[in-house]
Amino acid sequence: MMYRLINWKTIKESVIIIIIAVIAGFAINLFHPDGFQMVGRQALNYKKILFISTLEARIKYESSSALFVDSRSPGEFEESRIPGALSIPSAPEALSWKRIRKYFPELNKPRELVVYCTGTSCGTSEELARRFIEMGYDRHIYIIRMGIPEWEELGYPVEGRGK
Amino acid sequence: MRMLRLFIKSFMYGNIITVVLRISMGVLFLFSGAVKIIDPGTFARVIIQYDIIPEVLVPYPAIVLPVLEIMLGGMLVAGYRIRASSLISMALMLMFSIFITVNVVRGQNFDCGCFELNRIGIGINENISVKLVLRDLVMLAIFAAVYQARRHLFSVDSIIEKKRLRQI
Repeated sequence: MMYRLINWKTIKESVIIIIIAVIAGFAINLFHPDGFQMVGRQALNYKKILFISTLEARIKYESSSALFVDSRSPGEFEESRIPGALSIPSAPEALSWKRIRKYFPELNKPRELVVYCTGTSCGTSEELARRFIEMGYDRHIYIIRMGIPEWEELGYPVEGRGK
Repeated sequence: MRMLRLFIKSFMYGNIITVVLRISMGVLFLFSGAVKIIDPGTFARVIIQYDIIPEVLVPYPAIVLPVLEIMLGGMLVAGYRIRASSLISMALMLMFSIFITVNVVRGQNFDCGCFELNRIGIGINENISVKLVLRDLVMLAIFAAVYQARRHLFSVDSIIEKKRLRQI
């Protein structure tokens, strides 16, 4: 009798074992306390966007190492802003892109970039930061997590018509 | 001389030594898989050291390989679908020895992260070297011997086969 060293049954079983291992592996990873977090490619591109506290922003402000960017509307910017901030509203989009192009050489200077808006509820800072990255900005971009309301509340310096 | 030939014949057919080898390799797999599954981050760093696949793709083998090792270990110890599991083990061993060879040729020197035996206090030198490649090839040969054996004592496969034969 011929004893075949390789047969279809073995190969089929091997493939099934590997498929089960892949499925089980991903299932275990899902519930593993030290598991890997699967994120999209987009999130990987935008991981340079970091959220910082108001105090950290203040430290950057004090050391004049950062350029502040206001992502709110021009009206709000006129009302009150962090001294020296640039106004690059995130909406409307056309205006936003126009301002980004205009200020891009300024943004790309060797300074840290801090974007802020009206706090946690506003996604405009993040939207703007993503546009900077799309334009080719390749350093970290900081966003003040609590926005300008907390900045004002803490009595940190602001300028503008309202003050 | 005749004794030796007889011994080789019985070993190839599958005797108690085949069983011992099969079960000890299974236990080794179970152990190394368990260590890796507990700490996938460390295992991922090990894979990065080898510098074979892009860093973005590292989590995938880091997730699948430990589970595969545990499955293979369990199947080898229990003796369930021995041929398939030893075939995959052979493929794994071949893969590992190729990766280690590549890095030895590159002149690298780091801990291979194979079995992580030093985690339980068995301090053996597992830095990648030609010796380690040879060790993996020996294991490959062991799996090949298990793969081609026709009889597997103390295995689920043999119990299933006996049942099948009884029904005929």
